[in-house]
Amino acid sequence: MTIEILFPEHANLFGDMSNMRYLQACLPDAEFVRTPLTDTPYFVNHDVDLLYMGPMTERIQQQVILALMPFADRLRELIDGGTPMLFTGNAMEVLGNTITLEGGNTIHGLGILPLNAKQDLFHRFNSLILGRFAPVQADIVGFKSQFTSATGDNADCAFLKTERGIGLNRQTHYEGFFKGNMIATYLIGPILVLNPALTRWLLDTMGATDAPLAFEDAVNDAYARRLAEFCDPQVDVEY
Amino acid sequence: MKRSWRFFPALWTAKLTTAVLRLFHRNATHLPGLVALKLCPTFLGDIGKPKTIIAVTGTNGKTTVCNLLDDILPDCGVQPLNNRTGSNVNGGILTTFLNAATLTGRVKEEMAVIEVDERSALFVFKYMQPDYLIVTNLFRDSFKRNAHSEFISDILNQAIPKKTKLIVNADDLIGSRLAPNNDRITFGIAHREGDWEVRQNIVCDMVACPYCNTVLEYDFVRYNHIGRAHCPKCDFASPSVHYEIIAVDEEAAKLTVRTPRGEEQYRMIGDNITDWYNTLAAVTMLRVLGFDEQTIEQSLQKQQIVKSRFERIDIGDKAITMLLAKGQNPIACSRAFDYIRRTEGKKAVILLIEDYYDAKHTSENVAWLYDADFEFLNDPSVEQIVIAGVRAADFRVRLLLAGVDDSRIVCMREEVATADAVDFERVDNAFVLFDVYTTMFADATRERLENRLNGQNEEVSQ
Ligand SMILES: [Zn+2]
Repeated sequence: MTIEILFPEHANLFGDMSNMRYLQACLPDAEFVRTPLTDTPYFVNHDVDLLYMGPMTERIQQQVILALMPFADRLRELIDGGTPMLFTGNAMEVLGNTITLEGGNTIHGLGILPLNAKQDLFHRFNSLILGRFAPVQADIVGFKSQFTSATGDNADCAFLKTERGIGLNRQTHYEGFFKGNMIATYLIGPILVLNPALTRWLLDTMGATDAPLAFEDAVNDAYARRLAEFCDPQVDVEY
Repeated sequence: MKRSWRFFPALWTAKLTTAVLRLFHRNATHLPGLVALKLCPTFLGDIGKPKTIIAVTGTNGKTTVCNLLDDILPDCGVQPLNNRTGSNVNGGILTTFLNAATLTGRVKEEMAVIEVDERSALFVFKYMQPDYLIVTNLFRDSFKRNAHSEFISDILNQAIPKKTKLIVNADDLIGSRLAPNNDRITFGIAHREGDWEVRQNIVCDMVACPYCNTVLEYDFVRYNHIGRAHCPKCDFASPSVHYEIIAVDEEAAKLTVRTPRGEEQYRMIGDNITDWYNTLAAVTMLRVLGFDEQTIEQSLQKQQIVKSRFERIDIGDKAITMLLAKGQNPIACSRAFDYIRRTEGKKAVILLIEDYYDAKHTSENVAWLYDADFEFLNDPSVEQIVIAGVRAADFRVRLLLAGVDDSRIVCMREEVATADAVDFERVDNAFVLFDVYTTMFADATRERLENRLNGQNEEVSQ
């Protein structure tokens, strides 16, 4: 089992690398390939069981787009072929069409997802998200903390339909993208640790149906408590 | 000086606001400044200021450095204006100058030491251009407010006036590169035994060369990105150091500092390397201002770390250690965890670091727990970890992922009850880690621990 982490020296903000540490605890024998920004990604010439990229700074995001641009077709091919992938936070925007920077300039993303993002460095958006991930009919809990909002055509391919918290922008409940087995989402942080059902789905999709969830009882306990809080109307969604 | 016509009405109204608030025993450290700002947007620029302004910013240590300067300067014959009792954001800084000003808008102090929150720098430095800016360090801080260290660097780079001379930490490759065209004096601590060759922390925000993106080679790593590094491909490297601690005599509590004027010796305050950085930052500033070595050293002899940040209480052969750790600040927590594992003896750790306000109003984003090195608590000397609050189940998961055995973890809802869970048969030192907003729980927990230990001692003596 091979898991490629793209550019972990940069794409590691907001505790998101915990997702890989948790997978490592679930899959102690898996091989983790950590590709630095200066190297050719492993997925270019090999098949992988999971491709992961976490959030990064706005400046690095532009370099990452340049680094991945030559391999956009290969990424598309892997997505269409059903390779599991996880892109969190602003890593999702790398796959999109455009990012409008603070100041007005627009840069192009890889053009894989119909997504257009817009930075607003003077307003940081922080929110809880509670939403439904259709393949497992489970409630997903998570957090957003970002400078951008986006528009995109994701109604029939969203990662989540939110019950609390916004989707790609305030006008929609559709959050992120789910295409083949690729999840791209604005959610940040330890989403695999927080969501045992999602992690179970991911492990099964990767073919690790026998792998138990690490610390399953503790993780389920924390999930149940968080879910109850997120469902509580007294709990503020945005803060 | 040409002032806005709005200035005097704003000054007098804001002063009246202060008087009224005080009459009703209300906190007057923030609001009056905001009133002044509302009535006169250029108030901070229009108000009189001391001849020399020292601003202090950075992720960790800025309050300590300000306190040291505020306490040492009077021994050097200077009574500085400071925002010690107020806040370090716009309202607090405005109020500080407002309170110091006469009804004609002048201030009598010759010097100011102003702690400035990194994000407030854009506003504050527009109207109050510091002669010196001390940057203690720049790290990841609250995701919610500060996003990431590059975001904060960008704000500071926009905010720092051209004339400001920087006093920066040479061992911090983020903070030391701020405002590259400004004059700067650097301070640092030379390589010491015990520094790492490779980093042990989860987070390092200075991994790649800013010029060519090549992964940097660290000559040594002290914690996170604090250390010295160079690029193997180009000539990028840590800057040279003007004021450098070259020897530490822990027994005699002495720091030997190499300065442009030769070697000097100063008292070591605290036994944590972050304490030494803070002391060095203050000493560097004072030497740059021209105060002499003896006066600074004599004053340092009187100083100590404020008890609200660190306190060790010994009772019989047991101890209670209170440590301010700052929730949602992964670096500050990691420093505390590292300090705990390096302390001798068997330990219990009480964690009171969940966000107090989030717990009341929302559900705290726990992502920061995964940037903090809970792995340091996975140490044979840490016998018990006791967690309280609504997020206890999340802390438990985090500790399990750090490899801590479940049998060492105790979760509870009520904060003060944690004191009863400490097993003093097994541990010598109970650490209480708390946040600035959970000091009430920390104080009550300490009291309960003290009572337990004093009770035990009485039983023994009977
Ligand atoms: Zn280089």
